Amino acid sequence: MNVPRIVRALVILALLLTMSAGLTLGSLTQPVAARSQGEGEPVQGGVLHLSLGEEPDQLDPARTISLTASDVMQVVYDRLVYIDDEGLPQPWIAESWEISDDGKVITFKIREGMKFHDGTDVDANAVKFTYDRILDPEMAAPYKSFVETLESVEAPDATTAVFTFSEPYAPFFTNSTIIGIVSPAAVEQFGDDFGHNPVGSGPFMFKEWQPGTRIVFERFPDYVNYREDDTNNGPAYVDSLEYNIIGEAATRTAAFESQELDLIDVEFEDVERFSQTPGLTIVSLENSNNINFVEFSDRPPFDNVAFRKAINYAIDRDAIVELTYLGNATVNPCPVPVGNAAFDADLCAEHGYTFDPDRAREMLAEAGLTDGDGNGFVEMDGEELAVTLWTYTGFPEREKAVEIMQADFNEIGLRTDIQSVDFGALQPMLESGETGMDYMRWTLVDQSILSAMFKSPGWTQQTSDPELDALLDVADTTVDPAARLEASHAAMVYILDNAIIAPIASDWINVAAHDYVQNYHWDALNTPRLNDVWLTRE
Amino acid sequence: MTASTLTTSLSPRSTAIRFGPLDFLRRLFRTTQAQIGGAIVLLLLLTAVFAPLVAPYDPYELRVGSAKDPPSPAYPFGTDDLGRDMLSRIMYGARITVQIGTISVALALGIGVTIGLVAGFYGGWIDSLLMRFTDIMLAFPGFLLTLAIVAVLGPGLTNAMIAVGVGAFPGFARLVRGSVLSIRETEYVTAERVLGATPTRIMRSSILPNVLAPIIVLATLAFPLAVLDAAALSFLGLGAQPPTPEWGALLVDGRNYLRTAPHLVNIPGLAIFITVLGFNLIGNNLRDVLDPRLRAR
Amino acid sequence: MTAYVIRRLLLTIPVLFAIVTLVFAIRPLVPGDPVEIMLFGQSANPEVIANIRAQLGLDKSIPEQYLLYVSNVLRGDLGTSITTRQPVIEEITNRYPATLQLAIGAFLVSGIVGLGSGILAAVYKDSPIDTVAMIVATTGISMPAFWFGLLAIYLFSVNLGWFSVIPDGSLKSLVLPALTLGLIASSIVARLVRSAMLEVLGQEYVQTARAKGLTERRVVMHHALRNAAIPVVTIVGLQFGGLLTGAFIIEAVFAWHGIGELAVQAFAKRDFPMIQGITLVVATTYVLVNLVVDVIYAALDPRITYS
Repeated sequence: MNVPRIVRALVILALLLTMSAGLTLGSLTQPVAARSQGEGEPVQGGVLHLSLGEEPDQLDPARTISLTASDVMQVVYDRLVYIDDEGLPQPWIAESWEISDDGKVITFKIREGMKFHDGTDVDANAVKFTYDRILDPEMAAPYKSFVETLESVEAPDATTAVFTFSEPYAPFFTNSTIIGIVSPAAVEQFGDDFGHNPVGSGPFMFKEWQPGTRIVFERFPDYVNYREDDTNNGPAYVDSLEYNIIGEAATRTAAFESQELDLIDVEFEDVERFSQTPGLTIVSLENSNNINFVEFSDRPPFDNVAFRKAINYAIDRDAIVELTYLGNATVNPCPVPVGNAAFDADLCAEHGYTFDPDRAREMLAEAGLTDGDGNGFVEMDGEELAVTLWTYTGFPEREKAVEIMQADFNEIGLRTDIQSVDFGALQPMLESGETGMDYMRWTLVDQSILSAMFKSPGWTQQTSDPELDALLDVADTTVDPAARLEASHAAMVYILDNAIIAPIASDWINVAAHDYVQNYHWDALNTPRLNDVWLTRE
Repeated sequence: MTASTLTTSLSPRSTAIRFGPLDFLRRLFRTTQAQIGGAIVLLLLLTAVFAPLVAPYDPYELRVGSAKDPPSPAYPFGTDDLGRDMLSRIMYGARITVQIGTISVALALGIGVTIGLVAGFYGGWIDSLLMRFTDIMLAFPGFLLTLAIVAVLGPGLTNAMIAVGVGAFPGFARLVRGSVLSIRETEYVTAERVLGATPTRIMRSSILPNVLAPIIVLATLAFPLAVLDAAALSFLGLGAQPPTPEWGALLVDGRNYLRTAPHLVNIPGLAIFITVLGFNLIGNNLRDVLDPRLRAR
Repeated sequence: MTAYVIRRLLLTIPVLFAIVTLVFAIRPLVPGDPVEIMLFGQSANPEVIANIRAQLGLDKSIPEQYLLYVSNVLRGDLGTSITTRQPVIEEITNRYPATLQLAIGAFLVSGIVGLGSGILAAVYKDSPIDTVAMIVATTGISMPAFWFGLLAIYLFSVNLGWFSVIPDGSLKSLVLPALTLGLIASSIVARLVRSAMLEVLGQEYVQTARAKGLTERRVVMHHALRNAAIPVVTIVGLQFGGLLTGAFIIEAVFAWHGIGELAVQAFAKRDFPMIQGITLVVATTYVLVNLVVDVIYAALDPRITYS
């Protein structure tokens, strides 16, 4: 829950850019799915109190782009497939599927006997209906970007759904997990209000929406869970879910402490305290698919590889992890998240960079930047140099991290200004080619994160490196998992040798729960599996 | 809340300061409240001026090993989440606080007094035009106007000061105009006019000194409001940017440590509170001293 | 009197019109492309972008946009929120009652506390009671609202467990936010009551009442307070307008789902139709409250003439 909006948006972007010939997703790593407690026999009943940092707009997959909505929709709708710990698609509403030889047609066999909350059947027609709404230009569905080359969906009979693509589309299975299958009858009934009266076939049924205040769901008593990565195959254990909308983080924390919330996305500052508090548990996903890094503009001095290496050597990554993430992150020398299949500590240790201010000063000198006037800061072309380091507002740990980096850069004689900008303003700024560097965070499960981040023209329109593009093309079009990994590694070596970014750390996902919350865990795509949760509150 | 809500409490009947500076100060600091307020404001000003001399450490120096240390002899106010000395940060923050208050109030004064003087002195359509404009600005209650200005200008300390200042000018304009109106027709001003004094001269020599008292009171009370508004902007992420040790930003950055390292939130909170309290106590007493109705007793 | 009210009403119209114009001007002035903000970094195809621009009317010239905006406002259409995709007017209407509740609660608190400490301070002028009452009254307005609110939540809700952190719609959950906001506002009320009382207490008829041997309590409650009421009512009325809108941060801290919280979110996300809508509604409310206060004031104070 509460993954920063930008990150999820970038995932979308990342996935879009990943156009490869095959339809195999390739291998993913296995995020360690930490769980809360989960001992003893599951108990039925109770209300699970959760929080949302903002109100979702609509719970209709054909209308929303909100990440909060996407989180909440997880409990209402089932999907065609889910992604397992191996990174492979597994049957859910779709019982099985076949891919045509040219990779352009996928034929799903739809499971029989599943019901929507309104009692109607989940069938191929409902699947077609759901995707037709996404494809319909009239709907202007933002999720259309997730099914880029999908042309049409046909339902020749109740158990067959045929998806036809104009070009093979590798990310389809992963992307399809964001699109919940909706009840056509309910859409008919509610019309434009469907987004406020969602009806799917998921473990929880919509009950009530108090505008601005809370959204309540109750258990779908007839639920059958076909996912094999869950422990509970039947209806949810808890009677209902209550999402309370609380914008202020400190207030969410207070509500959690007073037991008005059973579970929160915990602030880094509170992890240690809560882990030492009797009755509370911290559940962590350390092997995360997050990566924090510094990226550069393509203008001087950033176009100089020695300068970029200086930046890489100047950053005290341990200090950032200790002080801003308070230890809740893993220092990451690789240009991919630690949870990524392509992550390779040895390879990145060989080609990557560690904190070494002296090397950083040497590199600055090599880049032709020296302190001629002896004021402690270097000049460029005879003029005092001051570079800008941006980050986006709303995330205190990011703002702290850039403060640390600012101190690091000033230490090696590189005068640095820092600036926090609203994300809505940052992207156009980067695209317009303002000179500077920025501290960014991406989340993506697949190796294709490399292409998403580094293929020309890049999300900031400032990337152009034909040599790297060629390496990435190989990685994207190689279907064999071992060969694909090798190709990814080749690209990573190039990225590190040329210091194209400065990777910093992969932050963990932390949830704080009261001890009575049992069996809270995530799936491979970092989605909480609330159907499995039970409460042992007296 | 901005200065505009305060103006109504100031009677336009308030008139000029008519006693010497010493007498004035004696009257002002007659009460315990004013003495407390005066001590606070003096401390703030001294800290602001001498911060680089008295601050024990560099307020920007990070210490990886000693983050969030509680207050100790070495660090009387403890250290912040990046190991920086809180006392030094608070001392440097005092400069920013004084800056915020001074610049915002100066801006509000500059715009407000000019509009008020011109409108009140010339009257007629100029008055109508300026006062309608002021009324419209007054229709955006306090903080909302400030927020709207920041939305247009973008976040940052400078923009925050501008926004707070512009947000507060209508109060000054209305107050000054009211005062000018009550003085304009006095025999003294009429006499000057008959003697051929230019409008600028009349405004400077006769009218301005006579409306000074209410302006001083309002400015003193607007100062703490500006400090609070700037802190509120920091809460919304629209104020000072890191690593500037602006008190509001320190307070907001510390909010998640209320349980684990309470000094990170309570020390900046107290700093703002005490400062604002000091100005309010002085401002309130100034009003008592300068308000002729109360002074008469 | 009727003429005065009508004149005052008519004067309000150009003011409201000017407010609409200023509010419209916010959008062209806010930096950043609203469509970019809406898509939040997602690459959308040009067709989708063009559709959204058309939806928002951004494909038209500024004067056209202005006319469209004015005509929409007149029809009660304040546009659609960028972030929630709901009609702005609906979002505001949903939240208005909560803000009104909080404002009334805070209004009562500020009235009671402000009147009480103001009277005490005036009656015991220059005594320690005066000093303490005034310092206490000044405390509220001197606390950063955010800090004040957070301390209150931790003390009363988390540590003492007296109130719930998440408002449940009951009267009880109104107590803490109303108290916090009310205490902030009571400072000004207390000051004014003290000044007004001091002025009245010094006047002849009060001296006469004292001379007649009435008890001090009776003098204060009957003679002084009634005459001090006029300026106090005005200020308290204006305060109400301020409270209705000055609760931004208090609402955000207490998860109080009113207009203030909505505004905080809208400003943080640059949701410009929402910013415009809230600014417009709040400013209009404020103007109308001022109008009512003026009329009440005129009705109360015989000294005002309505020429």
